[in-house]
Amino acid sequence: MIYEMFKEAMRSLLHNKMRSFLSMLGIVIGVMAVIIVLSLGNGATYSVKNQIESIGSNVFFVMVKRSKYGNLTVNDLEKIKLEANYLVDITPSFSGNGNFKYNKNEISTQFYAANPDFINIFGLKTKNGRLINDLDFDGGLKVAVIGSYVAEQLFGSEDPIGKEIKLYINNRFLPLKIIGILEETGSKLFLNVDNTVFIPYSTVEQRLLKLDVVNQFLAKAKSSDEVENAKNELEMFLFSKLKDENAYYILSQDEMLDTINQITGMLNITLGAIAAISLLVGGIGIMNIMLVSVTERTREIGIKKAIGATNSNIMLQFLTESLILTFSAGIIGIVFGILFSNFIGRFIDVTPYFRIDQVVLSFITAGFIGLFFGIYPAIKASKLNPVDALRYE
Amino acid sequence: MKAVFEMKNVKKIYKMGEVEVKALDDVSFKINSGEFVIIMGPSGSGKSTTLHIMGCLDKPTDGSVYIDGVDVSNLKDKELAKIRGEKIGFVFQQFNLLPRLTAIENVELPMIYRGIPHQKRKKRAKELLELVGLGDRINHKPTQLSGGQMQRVAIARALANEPSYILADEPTGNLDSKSGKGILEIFEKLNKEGMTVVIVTHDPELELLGNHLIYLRDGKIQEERFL
Repeated sequence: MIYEMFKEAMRSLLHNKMRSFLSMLGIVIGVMAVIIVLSLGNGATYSVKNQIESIGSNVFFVMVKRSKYGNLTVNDLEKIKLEANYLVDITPSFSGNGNFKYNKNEISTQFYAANPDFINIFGLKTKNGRLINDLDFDGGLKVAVIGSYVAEQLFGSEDPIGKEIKLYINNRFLPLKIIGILEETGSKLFLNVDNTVFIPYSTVEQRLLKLDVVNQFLAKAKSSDEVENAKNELEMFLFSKLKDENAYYILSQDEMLDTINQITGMLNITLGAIAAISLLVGGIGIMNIMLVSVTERTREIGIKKAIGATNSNIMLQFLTESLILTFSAGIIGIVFGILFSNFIGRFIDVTPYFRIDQVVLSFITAGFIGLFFGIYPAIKASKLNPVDALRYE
Repeated sequence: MKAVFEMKNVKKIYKMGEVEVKALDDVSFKINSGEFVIIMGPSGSGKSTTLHIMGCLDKPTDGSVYIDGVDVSNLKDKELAKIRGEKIGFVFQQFNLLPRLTAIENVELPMIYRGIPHQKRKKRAKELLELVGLGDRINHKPTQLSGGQMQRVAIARALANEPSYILADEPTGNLDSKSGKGILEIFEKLNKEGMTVVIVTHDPELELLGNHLIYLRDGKIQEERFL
C-alpha cells in the first residue's frame, strides 16, 4: 500500500515536472540558505575559537589608558610579576606594521614587540636558531625571531640565521639580526605568527619608537583553576597604580569566547530567521500547488472514492506528494548548500563546518514543512463529496 | 432468493437555497441476486439519486438502504468506502479510468484499497482483462484505447473485488452502437454466470436486456416489472 502510494505520488509529480520543480524551489533555496549560513557560521566560529584557545585557557588581554594619577610602564609590569602570586607570565604587547628588507627582498608585514614571556604565553617553538631571551630583552639587543612565511619571503632558500634585515618605519630604520625562525603555527589570538617579526620590546622602545607607556599587555594565570584569583590580583595592581576603574580593561579568554559566542549566536539567529522566512514562503508555495492539484484532480478523487478509497487513502495520497516534494527539496537543498558553502568559503577564506545534527535538522524541517503545508490541501481533498467530485468537469 | 440490495421508503430531499427539491419520494424496491435490473426514467426522475444511493455515494434523507442485508443508511464515511470497494462495482458513462495508470493498474486499484497482496492482485487483474477481451492491452494507457476498450477496462475494474452487484450508469452513452453492443454482451455474459447487474439509463433500447425493470418518474416508482 505504501509502495503503491509512493509510486502513484511519484508518477503524478513527474507528470508535472516543471510545476513540481518550481514548487520545490522555495524549499530548496531555504534549506540551501540554512546549510550555507550554519556551516560557514560554524566554520568562522571554530577558527576564531581555535585561535583563542590555541594559547591555552588562562591568558588575560589587558588594555590600559593613562589616568589622572599616572600610567603603566614596563617597570610596573616587572614589579607586578615579582609580587604576583597567581600570575606567571606578563609581557607588554605592541604590534605595528613596517617594511622589512633583506638585500633586494622586501615585505611589508606585522612586527610584534614583547618581552620573553610572550614565548610561554603563545607557546612558540623555533624551527631553527633560538628564541628571544632575557639577555636580548635586558640589553635591548637588535635581534629578531621571524615567522616561517617571513623567512620564506625574505630569504627564499637561504639560511636566515645570523643575517641582518632592516626594519623601516616612516623615515627611520632599525637593523635586526635574525636569531631564530619559528615553526609554522598559523594564527594565535590576534597574531598571524607565520607572518610576524618578533622583536624585544626594549629594543623597539629604546631604538625606534617611544613605548615607555604600556597600552596593552598580556598576562597568564598560574593555572586554569587560578584564573579568578589572577584576575582579582591584576585588578588590584592596576587600580592601585591608576586609581581609576575606567582606565583599564581586563579581558579573559573566557570572556573573549563569550563575546564570540554572543556575536555568532546573534548572527546565526538573524540569518536563521531569514532562512526560516524563505522556508515559510517555500511552504506556502507547496500548499498553493497542492491546492491547485486537488482542484485539478477532483474527478480523480471522486473516481477513487467510488471504487473504495477511504478519506484517509485520499489524504495520504496528497500528503505523500507534498512530503516527497519537500523531502527531495530538502535533499537537493542540502547537496547544493554543501557545494555552495565550500565555494563561498573559498572566497571568504572560511572552511565550512557541517554539523550532522544541523543537516539532519534542516532535512527534518523540510519534511515538517511538507506535512504542515500539505495537510490542509490533503484534508480538503479527502473531504470532497464523491457525488460532486464525480460530476466535476 | 437472496436480496443483494433493498430500499425501504427512501426519501431524498435537496435544499437549493430556500427551495426544497424532492429527488426521491418514498421509493422502495428490492434487487435479488442474479437479476439483470434496468432502472429507467427521464432526466429529473430521480435516476441519478437512486444510482448514488445504490452506489453508497450518497445517503438518503429518510428511509433505509440495505446491501447484502446490512443497513448502510447510517454508516460512517469510512465504512461506506469499504462497502463501495467490496460490494459495488461501478461502471460509468465517462469510463472514469485514471489517465496516468495503465489498464492493468486501473483494474488493480480497487484491490489496492482492499489490501490484496501484489502478486494475487496482478494475477486477478490480468484474468479480468482477459475476460473482457483485453488480454493483449494490459499495459496500455487509457489514451491508447478506444472508447469500447476503455469501458471494458472499467468493467474489469468493477469486477475486481467480486462485488455483490455491478452498477452501471449509462454504460453505452458515450459509445457508438457497435462498441455499445459489445459492452452489453459482456454484461449479459456476466449475468448468465450469476452476477447481479444494475443498469441505470434513459435509453429505452436497453430495457429488452433486463429481467427486472424499474421505471422512475418525478422521484417515484411509476412501474416495476419482472420478466
